[in-house]
Amino acid sequence: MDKLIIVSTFKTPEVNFNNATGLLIISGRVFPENPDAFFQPILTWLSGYSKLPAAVSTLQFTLTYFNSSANEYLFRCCKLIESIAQSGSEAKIVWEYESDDEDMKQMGEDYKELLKINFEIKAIN
Amino acid sequence: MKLNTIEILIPRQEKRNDTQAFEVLNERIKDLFISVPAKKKIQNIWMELYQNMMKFRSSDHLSLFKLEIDNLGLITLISMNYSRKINIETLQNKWNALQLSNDLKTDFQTKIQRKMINRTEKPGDFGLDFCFRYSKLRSFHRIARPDSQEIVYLAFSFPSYG
Repeated sequence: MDKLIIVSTFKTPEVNFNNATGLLIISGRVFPENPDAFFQPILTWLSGYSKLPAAVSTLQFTLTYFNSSANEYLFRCCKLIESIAQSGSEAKIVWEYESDDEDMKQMGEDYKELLKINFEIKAIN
Repeated sequence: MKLNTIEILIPRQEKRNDTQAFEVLNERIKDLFISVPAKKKIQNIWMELYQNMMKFRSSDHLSLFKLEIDNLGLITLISMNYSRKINIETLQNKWNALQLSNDLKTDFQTKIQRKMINRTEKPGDFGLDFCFRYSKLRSFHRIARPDSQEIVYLAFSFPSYG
């Protein structure tokens, strides 16, 4: 399995998934014109990774904005990481938000309540 | 000089894509004296309203997006556009459900979980939920027209502080 690297654009985030280290980062803005097309390779990669994960997996979101259409796909990414934790491997989600962005923090809290996984919410400056 | 109102007209046969719409708003809100969190809220609601407008409006009519800040610092985002009655009925039903909810958070969580389980359910459909989550006050009006269409007026308000 190869790493998954997607370069950011104005409306799509940087994706840097490293299967060797288990650090999986999605950062930036998320409002793709076609969320299904954008997220399909990400979900496919994560689905494959979840079958043979690294010793420790961390899905880290550092998002400044995402729209309602992307919401469901981001949550689907979380569910795949949750499946790793449920199969007995170490896995967690880190949700970083800009310290003045209460809405982004709230969204992280809403996700956290729905997932059975170590879910850390962190303010950044 | 800082302003307390901005208007963005969305012309007939609009050619702007989402990115350009986002950039137009970012340029215009530079003229407002508001906090960074308030700007983020405006971006969030604007993009949801814009995408909603582009999906449902009649493209041969103008649409209007307006932002007002009153003397008490309440920010109101308004969208007005022509739409077919059937689209407005759909929107009205979603609006009524959200308006009647006394727990938007739980409703949102239930909806997203349901979508995870039922893969046949169509993706998306959270736009109005997001607008409700990000605002404190809301208005919905329908203005009948003789041409079998209607004007739909949506407004979302939130304080410019905190």
